[in-house]
Formats: sequence, structure tokens, C-alpha cells
Amino acid sequence: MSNIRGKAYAMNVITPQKRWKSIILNAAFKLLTIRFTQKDLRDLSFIHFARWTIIPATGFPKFPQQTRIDKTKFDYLLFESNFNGSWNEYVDAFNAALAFKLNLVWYWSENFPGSVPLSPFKAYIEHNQKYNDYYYMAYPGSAVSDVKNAIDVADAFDTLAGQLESSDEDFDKAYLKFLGQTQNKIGINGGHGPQMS
Amino acid sequence: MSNYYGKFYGYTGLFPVLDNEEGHNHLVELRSLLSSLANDRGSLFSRTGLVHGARFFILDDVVYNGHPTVEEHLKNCYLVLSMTFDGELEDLASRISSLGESDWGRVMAHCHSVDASKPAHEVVLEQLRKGQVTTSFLYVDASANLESTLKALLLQRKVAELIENGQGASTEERKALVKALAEQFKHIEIPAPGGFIGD
Amino acid sequence: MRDNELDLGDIQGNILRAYAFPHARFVQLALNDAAAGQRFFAQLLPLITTAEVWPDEKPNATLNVAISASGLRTLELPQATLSSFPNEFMQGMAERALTLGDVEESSPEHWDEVWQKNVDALVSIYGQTDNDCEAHMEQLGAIAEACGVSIIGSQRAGKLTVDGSLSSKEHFGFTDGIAQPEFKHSHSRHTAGDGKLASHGAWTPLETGDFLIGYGNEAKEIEAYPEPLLLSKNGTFLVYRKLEQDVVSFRQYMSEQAEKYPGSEAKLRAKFVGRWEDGTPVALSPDKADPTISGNPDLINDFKYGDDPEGFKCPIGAHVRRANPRDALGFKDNLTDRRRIIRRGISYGDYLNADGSNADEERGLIFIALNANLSRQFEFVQQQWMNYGNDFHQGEQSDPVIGNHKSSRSYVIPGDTSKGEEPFICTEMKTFVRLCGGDYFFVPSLTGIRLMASNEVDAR
Repeated sequence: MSNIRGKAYAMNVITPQKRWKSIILNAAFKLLTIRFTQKDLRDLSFIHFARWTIIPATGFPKFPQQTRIDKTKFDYLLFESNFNGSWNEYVDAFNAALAFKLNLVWYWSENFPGSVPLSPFKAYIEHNQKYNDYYYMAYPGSAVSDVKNAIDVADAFDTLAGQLESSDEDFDKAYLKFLGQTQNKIGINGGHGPQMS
Repeated sequence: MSNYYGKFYGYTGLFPVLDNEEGHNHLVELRSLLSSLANDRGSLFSRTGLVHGARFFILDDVVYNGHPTVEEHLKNCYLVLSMTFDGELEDLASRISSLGESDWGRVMAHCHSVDASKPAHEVVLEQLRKGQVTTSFLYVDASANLESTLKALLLQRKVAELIENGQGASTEERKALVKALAEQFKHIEIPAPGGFIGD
Repeated sequence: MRDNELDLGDIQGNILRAYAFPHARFVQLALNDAAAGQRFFAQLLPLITTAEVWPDEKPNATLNVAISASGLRTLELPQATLSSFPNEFMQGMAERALTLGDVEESSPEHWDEVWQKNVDALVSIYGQTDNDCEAHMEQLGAIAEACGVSIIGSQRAGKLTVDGSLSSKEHFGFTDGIAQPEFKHSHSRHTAGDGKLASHGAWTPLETGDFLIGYGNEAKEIEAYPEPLLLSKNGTFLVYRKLEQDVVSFRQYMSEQAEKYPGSEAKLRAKFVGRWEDGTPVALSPDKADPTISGNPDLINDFKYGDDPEGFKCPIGAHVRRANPRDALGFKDNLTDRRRIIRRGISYGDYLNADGSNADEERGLIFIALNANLSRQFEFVQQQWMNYGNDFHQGEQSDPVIGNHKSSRSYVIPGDTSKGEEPFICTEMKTFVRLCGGDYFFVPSLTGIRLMASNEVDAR
């Protein structure tokens, strides 16, 4: 019953948005998908997964035995993220690095105050946040950067292991290259990380 | 299709919680159940072998952000499930159904569900599809599937030791270290997902 | 007439500029009860040194005061005021031990006796000579006695004498306190590298509000402040940490590693700290200390890390790169601007002789940091950058000099393998620094002190 599992935090934010604005936002997502934001998110390197889902006013799921069907006035934008660090650290960093792009996403939501200044933005996120009843992470002791490092290290090691039959001279070259590829990627991880408070 | 990101699938589903019946307050029972589920190596999601991350939360109502917005309320409470996993929804559904009696069934017992007369994996798949809302924008900062990720995290620790032990060593010694580790990893048992490697 | 955008006569000294006196005393007090505390602040007021610029020459000594959460409670300030102070401050440093990584030998149960008690107020005295400090101590003692306030501890500190002369070095042998955040209206000398990076790449001052309460900050707003603003404006928060340095172990470890390291021992040490002993940044001069850089205040801080992503010049985990990563985290320096802290550290104990003959004596650093938001600034730096490594993509690795090395056992000095250089891995790292006590304090303005002394604090 927690938003936290190991080094990861799970955030859910749901915001109302006028239906015609969803069209603009969907276009913005297409732009985001193919353009700049993904590189920024990757550079920030603390978000495992994130997604935006527009639940259309008439798009709430309908099951056979249901007696009441939801049909709302607004569309609802559901944002879900898995990140490393505390709520405050995440919102601070997201805001410091991507303030303008955050505006592009939530600008269309009702009464969004804008991402700058910070305090009203934080208050809005907090007000619209839904807390988790259950959170699972497959590798709770490893942050996004730990996983990326580990994959690179494993690849570099596989390449090196393929050079075992090479001459000493070639192996030395391969080993040096391997050291270059791994030297900044072997930080120990797998533990619980710092206390978030 | 924005539910895909490379080989990853991003799923979000909303399941309306059952109305109270005599002797059963489904929302209270569901919340109680969710808080007691294993979220480590014993988790339902760990046992599928496909899921990188998953969460359940209750959407008990929508949020009102004050004037001049109109206040509105939902008629149903929803259980929201979201997951990021390897492969297709069909793969996940058959893994879940292959677990037999599991937390999946215990959780979904509190929600509206599809016709259960079909084969088990079809029921799970149909339930997932019926509740699904399409993701507008999915982002995943990972490149490897679950098994490769867990193996790499284990190998990374061993490589760190290898580099330390190989410092100042001869070519022959280094070859021996690399060979030993490569051999070791051919047969290594990968721990189940959901736990801390350090533990 | 207004000679500055800030009311310098209302701000306590040592926040905007360092006094740079060679001697210091830090006095811990118990206020005992509200009335005694009020009398004490009223009588102390005339002695307090402000930020006003000294017209001719420096005074012989200075005196400043700060108050802890237990001090505010003892003064019986209104509950609405107490509740408006930030949680981490009201908890105090001992209760923040797990958050800060103050565990094992550094955990509160091992702290000095005075820090096991409630320290209500901290008086800092700096002087040209030890006698000048002593004279202020006597005045302080007389006031305390007259008011019914108790002095429960006193810490002597000062610049170290190294090779017979006064030095700016700390015990491990490095020149300390070189880089300080430059912020608007502080009237500190403009030094490239101390402020933040403007979009055109030049260094400009940071906003005032991350260092003084009640001003606009780097998040483009005036942050929530303790109520009433009359009490908190022009004030800030002070972190006091008595850090014991195990110089014997540090020197021994360095010399052992240096036997295997391909460069000199001086270079190895520089690669740990990120600066050579004289202060030359390795980012500017990776192979040798350079007096033309270390002697020039316009050059000594004028560097970035963006051109050295692999850490060939300055290792990614080096102490100064962790403590202030500048542009190393990407997004210009946007991810570091709101984490900056003012440091006013000063050593205690004598420098360890080359022959180790005074090894048994206590020595270390009185670490003092000033910032407007303890949680966002000091605590973040301590937790995320000193005792953890994720922001640098180094997993759980901690700072090689001041970090806890129980679990992170190694430190990597990267090698430029394209030039045939292998990295050097320092193994079996030791924890060289131990926390012996400390707390969080609020440094009120003169107006704030007057208000506390008056017993008329009105939250709103």
C-alpha cells in the first residue's frame, strides 16, 4: 500500500480536460513521440516508464453486468510514471529541466496553473494525484541508470569473452576497450537506496 | 498504436468495482486485499516472468479543480491496473491463466468481469481487453527484456569484481578471469524478479 | 538613502561574505525558559555583527547567533509559528540521521556529549586572535549568567598552522572553501564559476531567495517561509556538523594506493578531491597544480564538466564534482542551481605532524552550511550526492573523501583508453570522516531577534 518500492516511486495524476482540447493534446503527443522530449527524458535518466492516457468522456470501460455507465462532461488525462527518487526530487528535477514541455502536456487541463512558478505547479499535481494500493517493480534495487549501465556492461563483457581465443595482443586491445566501455558503469546497486522523506 | 514501445507493452485498464451486496463491501475488501498482496518475488507479476512494473490503484472519483470548472463525479469506482511488460497482451494473459488460482482471480472477484465460461486464458485476455484504455503516449527507458535485464544486473556485479581483480594482472591471468566468469554465466540461475539483488 | 537592495544592517554577518578570521569559538547554549531566552536575545543584540560593510578595517572579533527548534520551543513562540517552520528543521539533525546517512560510527548515539542534549542556541565568535575571541566569550558569559541562560559547550576552531605558517588548508591538506555560490545583491566579488550558467554560457549570479528567506528564488517565486515574515525575512538556515577527520588513515590509504597508481601521490589525491592541494581544479589542469590558476580568483572556479563526460580530467565521482556538479548532469546547470549551499567551514585541532607524533589528538572540520531550504539544498546534497551515486550514474557509490564506504568499496579514476590508459580502481575504500554531532539552526535577522526578545510574535 505504497507509492514506493525500493528505489522507485509510482505516481498517478488525473486531470480533467475539455473534450475539444484532447484533439490538440493528441497532436502534441504525436509531436512529442517523434521529437525532442524522448531524448530529454532519456538524458534525465530517472524515469523507468511513463505514459499519458486520455480517457474520453464516453470511453470508460463497460462490462456486461454493469448497471451504471459513466459518461462524463470532461475527458480525463491520466499520467502515470515510475521514477527514481522522492516525489519532491522528481517534481523539482522535472520542472528544472523540462518546465516548458510540461506546459505542453498539462496546459490543456482545467485550471492548470503552469509549470512556473513551482509551488502552484506542485500543489496542482498533488491535488490531482491518486495514491497506489499496490506497487510492484521487477528490479526494485536498481535505478534506471543502474539498468542501463548493466546492459552496457553485459554487452561489453560478451564481446570481450568472444576474444578469448585471440592472440594476447588482440586480447589486450579488446580488454582495454572493454575497460573504456565499463569503467564508469560498475557502480554497485541492488540495495534499498537512500531513505525518501 | 501507442501501447507499444519497442518490444515493451504498456497496459492501462479500468475495472468497475462491484456494488455492495449483502455481507460484502467490495471496495473495502478490495483495498484490504491489495494492501496484503505480495510485491516481492512471491508477487503475481513476478510469477508471470514478463512484467517490469505494475500497480493497482482505486479511482474512486475524478478530481475537481475549483471554479470556473464544473464539478462532476463518477458513477462507478474503478480499479486501475497498469503494467509494462515484454511481448503481447496474449502472452501475458496466458501466463496469468497458467498460474491457476492466483491473486489475479482474488482481485478480479471484486470487479465486474466478462463471461467466464470460456477457457481460462481467453477469459483473462478478454477481461484485460474489456477494461483497457488506449495509451496516448508511452515512454520506456529500457532496452532489454526482463530476463536479460536481471542477468545483466547480476553480471554487472561480477564484472566490477573482475575489473578489480584484473588490475595489474597479466594477459594470461585476465584471460583466465574472463573465461571463468563467462563459464559461470552460461549456467547461472537468474533469481526471480521482484527482489533486491543485494539481499 | 538605500545603498543596497538588501538591508545589510538587518542581516547577520557571515551569510553574504565570509569573515575569514583565523580563530573561532562555537558556543552551545541552553535557554532554560522563555523569559531567560527573551532577556538573553535582548541583551545580545548590540553585540551582533551585521552584514554592513566595514568602512575601514575589520573589527577584532565578530559575534553571531542562531537558534534551534528546541530553542524556538523553549521561547514558547506561538504554535502557528512553530508549525510554519519546515519539518526537517523542527525534527533536528539527529532525527534526520537515516535521511542524511549519519549511521554506524556517525549515528547520534555516538555523538559528543553536548550534542546528545538539546542545544537551543549557537553563538559563533570569530576573531583576529584567540584573545579577541576570549574577550567576546567573557561578554557572552556575563550576559548568559545575568539572563539565566546556560553555556553547555564550547568548541575552539581556527585556521591550521601548516609548516609554521597560517594556512587555508583543512586537515587532509587541501585548500578549502574556494567555491561559494554567488547570488544577486550579495555584494560579493563576481567570480566566474560561482554563480549559474546563463543561456549564452556566461556565469551570472543566482537568485537571492535560495540563500536568504523572503526573496525570489531559482524557482521564480518566493518560497513558503516561517510565519510571520517579519520573523523570518532576511534570515536563513544554518547546518552545524562537527566532522572528525581520520588523517592517519587517509594518509596511509593514499600512500598505499599511490604505490600501485601510475601517477604521483599528489595526483592521486587530486583525483579524489577534484582539486590539487593548492586548489587548482583538475578539470582545468589534470596533470599538475598550477599556481597561475590557483593564485587567480578569476580562474580558480572558472570551469565546467560538460567537456569531460567520461571524467578523464576530473573523475565523475570526485568530491568537488559531486558537491557541485555544475553542468555535469546535463540541461545546462539547471539540475544543480537549486542545490547550492554557502559553506563556512573551519578546522579544529592541530595539523597532523609529518612524523605522526600528535596522531592521538582530535582533529576535523566544523562544517557550516547556509541555505534557505535545508531539505532541498543541504539534505539533498548530503543524501543524493555525498552518500549515493545515482545522479552520476554510479549506483550506490558514495563520495570518496567524506562518504560512508561500508558498502561502496571502490573508487574509479577513469583512464582515456583511446590513449592506452587503463582506469585505476581504488579498492577497499575507507570511511575517513565521522560525524561527532551538530544540529540545524535558524539564523534570524536583527528584526527577528528583536521580535523573539519582545515576546510579541504574532503568527497572523
